[in-house]
Amino acid sequence: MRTRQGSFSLEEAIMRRLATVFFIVSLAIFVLLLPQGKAALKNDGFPQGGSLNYGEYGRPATLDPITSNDMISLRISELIFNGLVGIDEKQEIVPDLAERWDISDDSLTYTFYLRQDVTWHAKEGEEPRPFTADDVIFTYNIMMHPQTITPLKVRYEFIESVVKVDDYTVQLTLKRPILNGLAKFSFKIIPQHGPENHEFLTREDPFVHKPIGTGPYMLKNITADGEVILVANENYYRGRPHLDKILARPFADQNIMSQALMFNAIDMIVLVNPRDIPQIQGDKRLVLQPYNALSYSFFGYNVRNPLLADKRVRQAITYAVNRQEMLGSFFNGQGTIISGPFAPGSWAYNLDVEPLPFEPQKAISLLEEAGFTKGDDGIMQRDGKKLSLALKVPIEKESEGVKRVVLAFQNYLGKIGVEIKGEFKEWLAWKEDVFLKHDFDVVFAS
Amino acid sequence: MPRCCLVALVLEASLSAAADPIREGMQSYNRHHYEDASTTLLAHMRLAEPSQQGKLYLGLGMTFLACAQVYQELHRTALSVQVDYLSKLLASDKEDGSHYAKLYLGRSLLDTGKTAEAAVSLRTCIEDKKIEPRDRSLAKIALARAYYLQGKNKNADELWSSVDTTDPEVMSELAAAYSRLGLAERKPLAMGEQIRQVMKQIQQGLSIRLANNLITVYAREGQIDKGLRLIKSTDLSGFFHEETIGKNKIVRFYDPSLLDNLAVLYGRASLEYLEKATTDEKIKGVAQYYLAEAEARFGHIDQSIEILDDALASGLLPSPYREKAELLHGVARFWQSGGRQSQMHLEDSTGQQQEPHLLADTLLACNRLNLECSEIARKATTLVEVIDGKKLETLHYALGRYYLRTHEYEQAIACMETVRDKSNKNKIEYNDPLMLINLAEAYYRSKRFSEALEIYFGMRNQFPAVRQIQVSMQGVYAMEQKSAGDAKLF
Repeated sequence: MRTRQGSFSLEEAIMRRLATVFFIVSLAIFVLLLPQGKAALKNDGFPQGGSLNYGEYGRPATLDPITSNDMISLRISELIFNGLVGIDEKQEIVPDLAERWDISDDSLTYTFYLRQDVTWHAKEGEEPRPFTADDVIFTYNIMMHPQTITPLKVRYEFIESVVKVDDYTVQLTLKRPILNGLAKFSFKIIPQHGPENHEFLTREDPFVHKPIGTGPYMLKNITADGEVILVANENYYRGRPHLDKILARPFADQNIMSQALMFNAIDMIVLVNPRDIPQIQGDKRLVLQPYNALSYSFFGYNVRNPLLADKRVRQAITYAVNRQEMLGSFFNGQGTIISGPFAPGSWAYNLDVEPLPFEPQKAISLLEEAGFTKGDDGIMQRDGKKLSLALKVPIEKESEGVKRVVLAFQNYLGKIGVEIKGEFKEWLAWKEDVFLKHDFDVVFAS
Repeated sequence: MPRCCLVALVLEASLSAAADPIREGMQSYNRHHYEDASTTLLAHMRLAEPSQQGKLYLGLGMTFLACAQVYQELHRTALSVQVDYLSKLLASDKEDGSHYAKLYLGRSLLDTGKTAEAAVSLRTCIEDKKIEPRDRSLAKIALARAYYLQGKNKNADELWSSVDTTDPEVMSELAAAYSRLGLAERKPLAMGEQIRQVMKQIQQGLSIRLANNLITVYAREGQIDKGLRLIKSTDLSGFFHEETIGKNKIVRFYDPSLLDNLAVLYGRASLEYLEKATTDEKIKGVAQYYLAEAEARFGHIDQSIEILDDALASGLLPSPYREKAELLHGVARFWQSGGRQSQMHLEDSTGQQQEPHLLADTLLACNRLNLECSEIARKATTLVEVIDGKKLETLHYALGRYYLRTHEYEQAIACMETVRDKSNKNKIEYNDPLMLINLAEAYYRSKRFSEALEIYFGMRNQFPAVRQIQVSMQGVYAMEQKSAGDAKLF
């Protein structure tokens, strides 16, 4: 399956991976995040108090829901903020900051009636302020401001306007009806009195590192070691959460993080190194809870490159790479070879497209069919031009597994006479090269 | 899983001198690669020494029985998912929507036993001029089957005689209908052979519909080997019809009856091969146990009891099989009595023991036979609470299956997840496919579609006919999907 996305084509996705470890205490967290009344929380049988100390591979770039673009940040901002609507564990839309809503018959106007019992986390030395329609308008405006750096902007371009009807009613008008429109309004609301700059939000604004929200947990502080400490919001509108404190501890090394778990230094990790799975699974103190990450890694080709514009060349590259072997060797078999940009658990996964198998001989035949012959240096060439490609990989996602994948990719392709020059680049520089300059031949990304 | 343990015991005894192909086949069986197992064992059949024949028959019988069980479970899920999907599709597209959804819904309703509802749906198809004449004939044949099941034989005959049997697809549908209703006097097998001749003459391959109908006939008319060969040459993941709606919407229709036909064919194959295996004195006891299980599984309770009586009296059953045979005997008698015996009597007949595997077998049998078994479930629940879960895999699965039947989906999921291999959660090599199928259904019922679809995706290589469920479930998921579901490149 080939899907055009931006300037390059997504060739067959290579593999899905990830598994997680949760301590039993983490179950309590998820339960308390479900929409329940205060009374239910107090009598739900879960113990009160205590803290959860979990490990993250890396540090969050920011803690607000607008400028953050990594999972570490998003996990924290989920605890600090709320949206107009929420999505529960069954993927059902449930009321959150909006207690109810109306949708016009033409599906163009959404009117949200806001809860009147929600307050913002108190700023130091201040009383908590009430959450109102002004905060919703403010969030939309700052999110859509051209100078705000956020991945959300493009996702909300379908909104024509956001209007305050009264202090607790907002009306959103869409440019066109959209699929699953209501679910889109699960974006997190930030306070009007939060950011220093009221027009746009950048990573320089103190708010992104010390945010206040309406959620079950409040940011207490970030230690010198980068530990993010959250404490229970006593005034949370659904009732105080069970845990007193949540601490997110960053690790620069996945192995050390796993060791910390096994030596009781932390309670939970959210990403397990595949090679640690057998040890963790065999440890009765730990509960291994795999989930479908719905994420995938892929090699994408720049079809602006005339060599790669030839479908046979792209197919040859796919036939030459033993993805099953890579999955088994580097990710302990934790994943699936897929044929497109959707996980097999998605309704959109195309079952008619089977991933291409590993057939290096077929790869060579395809290249020969495309007019390539092997040169003296063992590299395929056509019309005097070598089949030498630049592979760019964002360094932000660099990990032991990714490095091995890149090396293996080079080796597999070397065997059919395709030279791959790998280059790890800082995330923003990678984005600029790929999306703006189109200066790449192949990318490996997730 | 205990079944693997028992298989290992059989092999210990029977494979010490066995040739490699049998070992290889049974290794595939233990990994739940039943297609691979049957291919290996069947290929060896022609070359095997006479002394190996019995073991081959036993291996094939066990493999086909396992296959039949998988397809039986898949069919149960597929029918309900198909009905959910098509009902939703029809409800969402009232104007200019699908015309063929009514046809496939009617057929599926008929297979669930809802003849009156099926008839309503099928009648509208017959009158719908936007449906091709051939497909309206299919609707007539199905409607006639509904009438026949309602005892309206005259109406059925009128409809059957009104269809154009010069069209091989229509004729095959008619043959399949006769076979399913046990109307052997209408010669469905001869009709099937005639169709194959025609297709050969016009040098056309068999469509999935033709193949499905022929499998129906072969399975029910005792042409097992022909049926097995046809399965091997058919793409079981194919769709039955493609409908274009408006300018660019395409709906593909699949048919869960394929799964039922596979279950019946493999079931009959298991009976045939296990029957042959019982002629080998060395393995007779074990073969009799599996034969009795297969007979019971396919509703032949009297035969099952007769075989078990003989096996238990002969003293040929190795120890673990004796206990299982006694249990099966008790359950079969309970079933034979039409459930008139009390549940306590069932427990008495199974020895009132607390042995987890036997308790699990009792619970599974009760589930299968739809018997009330809350007391047994209570006993099983008590047991799983006090013993380490890993030692009680089958009992957890049996309880999960029980909770699925009682619509307690979260408990069903919890039970089955306890015994799921977390490192290889969707791989059939590490998890019993029967458990995975039931877990997938529990997830589906809980609207956690993604989990269910992942399971089917993992099964597709060994059980390609699972596509008959996948697409319908994707359809339900797409219509139920409430979250944004948009992709983001981090």
